[in-house]
Amino acid sequence: MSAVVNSTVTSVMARCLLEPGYLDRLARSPDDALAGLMVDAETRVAIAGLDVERVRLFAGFISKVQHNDLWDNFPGTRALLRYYGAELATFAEYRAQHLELGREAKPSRAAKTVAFLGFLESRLRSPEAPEYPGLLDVLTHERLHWEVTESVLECRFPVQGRPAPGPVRTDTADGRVVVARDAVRVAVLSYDPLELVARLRDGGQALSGLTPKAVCLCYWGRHSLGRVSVLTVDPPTAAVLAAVDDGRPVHEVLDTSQTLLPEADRSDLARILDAAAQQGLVQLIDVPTAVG
Amino acid sequence: MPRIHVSAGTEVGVAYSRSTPEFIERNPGTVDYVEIPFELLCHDPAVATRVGTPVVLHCASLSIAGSVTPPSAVVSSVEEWIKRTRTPWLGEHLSFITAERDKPGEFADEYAPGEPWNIGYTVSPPMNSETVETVVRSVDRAMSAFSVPVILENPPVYFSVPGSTMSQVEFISEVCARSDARLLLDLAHFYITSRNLGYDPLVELARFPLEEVVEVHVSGVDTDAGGCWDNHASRAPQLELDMLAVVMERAPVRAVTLEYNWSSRFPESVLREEIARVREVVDACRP
Repeated sequence: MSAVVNSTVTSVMARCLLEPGYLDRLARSPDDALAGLMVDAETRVAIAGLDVERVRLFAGFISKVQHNDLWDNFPGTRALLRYYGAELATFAEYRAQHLELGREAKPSRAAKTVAFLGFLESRLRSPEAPEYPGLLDVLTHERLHWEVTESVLECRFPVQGRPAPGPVRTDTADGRVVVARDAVRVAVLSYDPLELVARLRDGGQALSGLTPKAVCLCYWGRHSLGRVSVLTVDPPTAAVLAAVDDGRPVHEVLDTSQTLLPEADRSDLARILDAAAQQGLVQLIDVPTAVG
Repeated sequence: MPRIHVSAGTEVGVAYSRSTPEFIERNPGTVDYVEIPFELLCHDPAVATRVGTPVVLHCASLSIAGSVTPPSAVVSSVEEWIKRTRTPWLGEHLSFITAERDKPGEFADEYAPGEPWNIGYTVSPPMNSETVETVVRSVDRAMSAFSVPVILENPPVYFSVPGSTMSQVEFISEVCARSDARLLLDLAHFYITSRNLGYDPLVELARFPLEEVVEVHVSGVDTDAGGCWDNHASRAPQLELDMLAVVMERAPVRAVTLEYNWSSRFPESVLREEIARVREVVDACRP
């Protein structure tokens, strides 16, 4: 082979690694994909013999390595991906999106994280997705923990107002606004991620007998303490806390939580909201009405 | 022509990660040097002084085995960092990271017309006599441009590259025979290549030009999707340590670098154990 052909081989390999669409075309129809190449028949045959599946995995491997810093905050997700032997396949599928994200400018670490987690979540929710029991739950758990941590670190608590303590009223439309203190998120999960992560730390041997175990978790970030607590809560509490949207008045929070949990009694939900305010998870405030 | 001075001792170092400065502070005297990528120094120059140890410079930007020569600004910047870090040599991958895309009618890219492909990761080249010629020319250029010698690192091979007519050991032996380059033997890469291509790594190692090896890399490997992959976040398999013993017996190794730099959560206790494992092999082979 001549040096000219060597340069063609490296060009085709580079293109395969940087343009997943081209790699797909090479796999489907090598003659068409290589039609523009001005090389001899022997070289064309050699290039057409490229193991495109291995190249696709290698491209995924490159993306995987370029996401090494992601795992600092998502160790359980990674451990479970590895347990199911799905890490490389996932990044190979993600390759096109990853490349697109970096086309214009180098994305921030946070942007990379959000993009990859969004991809993984939609992949796991897809009806065609392989069965990876507990992976979506661990991903959701670590994602919420990370999001609340980021909120606490950046002190993103936009709603301001005058504290207006006092029991929640259900007889009239209680117009006070419910705000989280300082960041509260809730997850309703089919598998307990804390238990799963603990089992993975033991090498994952015990995961073979994994069975669903519904659990509701609350992620409570407090700026003054600089940390995030994970609380196990019951379904009505989860419904109430999930309805808090930093701007919703009390009556809307109760309406929404009742939509989330239709079998719940409204006065019970009001008591739960009271308890959450007593505990400091949320605060009731008066927000001046904007004058237009 | 810059030369490597052979001394009696073999030093043990680590590849830089975010946790390296704290590790060194908490474990004084554990490592003799830190290996730092040129590309990281371009992005964060303070890293060079943050470690507080001698530095060995590593590089992935020269595309030694590719047909696109690196921009002169990159070469100048590498030389600047060679001087600033006082590295004894420059380690570079025997790979390509860039490739041409300016052939007529080919590969038009609306985002970067006329620019070479930049893969952002080093890739094993077609292993044939033409690539040997390319590497010899690249090494000559590098040896002229830099005030320290360049040592070439064996890349991991994940699939057969079209146009290859040589095994990796034959290819590297030919490069050594035809140039002044000496070698950085990455044992994980060597293990991965052997496994992926169906060779016995110890048999292959016996054929490797070990007399040219100046630095050795040790790190983990992974298996996924039916293949063997590089992994700087897990312990090296025992076979790598067995291979290290063979290399130490036959090669004038100046430095052994542990590359556990892909996770800032790599446990400090495990890193200490891995350093001790490597030092045990190195000390056992000292005259």
